Amino acid sequence: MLLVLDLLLVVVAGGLWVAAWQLRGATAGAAVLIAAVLTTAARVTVVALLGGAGWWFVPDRLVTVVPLTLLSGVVGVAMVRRRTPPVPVMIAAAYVAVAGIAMQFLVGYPVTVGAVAAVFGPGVAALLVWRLSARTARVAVVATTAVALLAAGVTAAVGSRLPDRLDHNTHGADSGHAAHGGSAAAPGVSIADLRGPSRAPTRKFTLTARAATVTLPSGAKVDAWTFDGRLPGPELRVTQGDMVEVTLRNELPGIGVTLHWHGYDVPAGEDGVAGVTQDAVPPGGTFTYRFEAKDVGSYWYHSHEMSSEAVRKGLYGTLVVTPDRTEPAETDITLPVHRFDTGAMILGGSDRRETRDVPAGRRVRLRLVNTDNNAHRVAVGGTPYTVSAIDGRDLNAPTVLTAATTLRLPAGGRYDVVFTMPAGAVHVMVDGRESDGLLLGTGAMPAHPAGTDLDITRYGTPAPGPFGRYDKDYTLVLDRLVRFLDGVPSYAYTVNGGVYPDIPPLMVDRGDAVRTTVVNRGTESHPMHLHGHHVLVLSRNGRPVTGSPLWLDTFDVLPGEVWQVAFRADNPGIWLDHCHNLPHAKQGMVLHVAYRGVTSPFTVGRRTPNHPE
Amino acid sequence: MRKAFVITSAIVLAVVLTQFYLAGVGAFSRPATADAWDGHRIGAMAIMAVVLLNTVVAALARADGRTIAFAALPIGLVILQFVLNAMSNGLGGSQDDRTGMPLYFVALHAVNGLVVMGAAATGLRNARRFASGAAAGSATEAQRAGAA
Ligand code: HEM
Ligand SMILES: [Cu+2]
Repeated sequence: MLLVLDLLLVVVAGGLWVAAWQLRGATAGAAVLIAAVLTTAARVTVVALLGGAGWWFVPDRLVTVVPLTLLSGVVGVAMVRRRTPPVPVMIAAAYVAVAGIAMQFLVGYPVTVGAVAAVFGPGVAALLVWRLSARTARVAVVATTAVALLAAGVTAAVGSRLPDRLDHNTHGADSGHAAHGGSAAAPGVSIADLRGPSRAPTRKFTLTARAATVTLPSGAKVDAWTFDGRLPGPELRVTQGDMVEVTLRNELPGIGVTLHWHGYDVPAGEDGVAGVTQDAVPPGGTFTYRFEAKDVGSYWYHSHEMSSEAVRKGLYGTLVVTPDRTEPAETDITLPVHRFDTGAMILGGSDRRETRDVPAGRRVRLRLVNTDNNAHRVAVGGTPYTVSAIDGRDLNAPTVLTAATTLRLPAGGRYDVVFTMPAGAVHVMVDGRESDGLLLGTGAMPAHPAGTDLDITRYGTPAPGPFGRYDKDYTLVLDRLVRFLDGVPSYAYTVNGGVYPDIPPLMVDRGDAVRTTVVNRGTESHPMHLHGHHVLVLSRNGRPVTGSPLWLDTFDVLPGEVWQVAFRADNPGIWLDHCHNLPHAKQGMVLHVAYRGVTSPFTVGRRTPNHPE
Repeated sequence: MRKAFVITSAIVLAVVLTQFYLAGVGAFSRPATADAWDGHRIGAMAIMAVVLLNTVVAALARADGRTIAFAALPIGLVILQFVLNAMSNGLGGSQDDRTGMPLYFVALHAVNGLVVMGAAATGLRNARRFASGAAAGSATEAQRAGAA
């Protein structure tokens, strides 16, 4: 909220100060000037409040807010004395106010000397031109400034272009793209060798990717990319201890595909990221994934080749690992939520209200999965319930909730909801619509009172965590800035001021305890997803988690929030760490967690079949 | 240089018109995808670039301060387009779900688009007046009329 307000204030202040300079002396000018001073005062307050939330939010803002405040003071004094403020002060204020906009859109965090020079250089140059008398000197100043800015722009644009092939090893370091800095000066282990166990599979599946027109229960048709012609793809249900083998066949027209096991921490070579852990499977090709079902819980799978488009079009399904093979004592329903470009929304496989008969007294487990790019809000009406697990990890002593609590399910996240079937009906409502969702049992539609969101950091009972000290400490500052994406200027999504592939990887050694602080300076939420690991949430906005330990693979960092999380580097590989609002990932918000000594033979770039986002 | 100023001002107007066309491409493409708006997003960057160029040309042509400021105005207005969108998201709107305040906020985008168009048209008129050697005073009056 503060960030939104600040965005408005910086732009309005820029406009007002320029107008005040232009209208200096005119009657309207005085009013505009007062408005400019007041807006600046408001911004000072907002920036002070932001500073209270964390240092990351303010250095770029202080660079212009401090001088502008001083200039406002001069203007204020002049106005109190009923004098027109001097022209140089007005020009300086207008320049600094506009520079504030530039800092907001071009610089962000961290503030570098080069960035400040680029923003204030033209102003200094203008000052020189104004003061210098010799014509040649003026020309020299203008030419130098113009050439410097142009050179910086062209360097950034050209430097952002993807080469034909970009690997993740030492060659990547030569490319100038930081994300591919690589680690293996010494010969290391290749990701292609970090595969699942080779023992005989106990469960075998084949998933065939193909284009299909699927008719939903309401009769609506969706032109989709599917696994096995179905939406969602087949549910893979396996038992703890199973050796799972999944063969992916690609029959899509001209489009590559992979399988990524979202939230299931497989060996790196099975992770299914095109260009990092394998080449995208071309049309007509196959790839076999093998992993052990060790971790009980709710997961999902999706293509990680052109994932932004592929998932949206239907290349997803669910993966469930159950504890044992005995006849389940619960009614267990997997409910992935998905929205298609046509606007059709399916819960499970249905875009209408689906009814299921469940006898009273029976235990019910609903596995809610958000396969979309934005959060969904789910409410369960008609019964008390608990959220027994999040992201495939059981919570410690979760307490009972009612329909007055809503569950904000972040993009990519999973919540397991458990209850005992009451005599009446139970309704699972998505995003406040009573017309669809899932109705269990018989009887009248239960009421859905207006609810408040569950705060998962205060839900359940604490338990001691495994981390004492940390071997690595990293900070990721998320923002939205103007950057070149593969040569094209864009209002991109950035991490520490950079976009993929120019964000340095988080380098770790096997066994490290790694702490990461994630700061969201933007105005949109970023559901951050680390492959191959679950992270333990330590604190949010400086307040430690007081509920159950939270082991998440996708945590939603809202605007202005600061999350501190930790993970154990116990799964060697080169892992994606990215925003699961996949268009954000496509527009830059992707980096790697790279284990020292791990290399990859796979590449991204113009002459490869791989486009992970 | 005055002639160049007229030409770059005309280019600005043309690119802004194209931006409206690209909004049409986004709005009418079926199935409606976010990708259909890519052209419109790049168009916004193109407007910024040509307006920057136009402003530099105006300065080199030694136009008066207000004419230059008017030439630069679309930059601020286009930034406002981004800001309206970002604010809408900040207030809880998203690509899939936008009702109430977030919607009413971002809907100003279309109106501000018209303001950009008006600024570009007035900018072109200023440039032509300036080129045809009209007194700086009358050009200033035209801007006042345009701003009102
Ligand atoms: C000069 C005129 C215009 C300019 C400079 C402009 C600029 C922009 C910019 C910069 C964005 C991207 C915002 C972001 O990515 O955060 C955008 C998005 C958008 N614009 Fe415009 N716009 C203009 C006119 C219009 C008009 C007339 C309409 C239609 C009524 C329109 C509809 C939209 C829509 C719907 C989006 C959102 C697209 C999406 O991200 O899905 N724009 N515009
Ligand atoms: Cu994001």
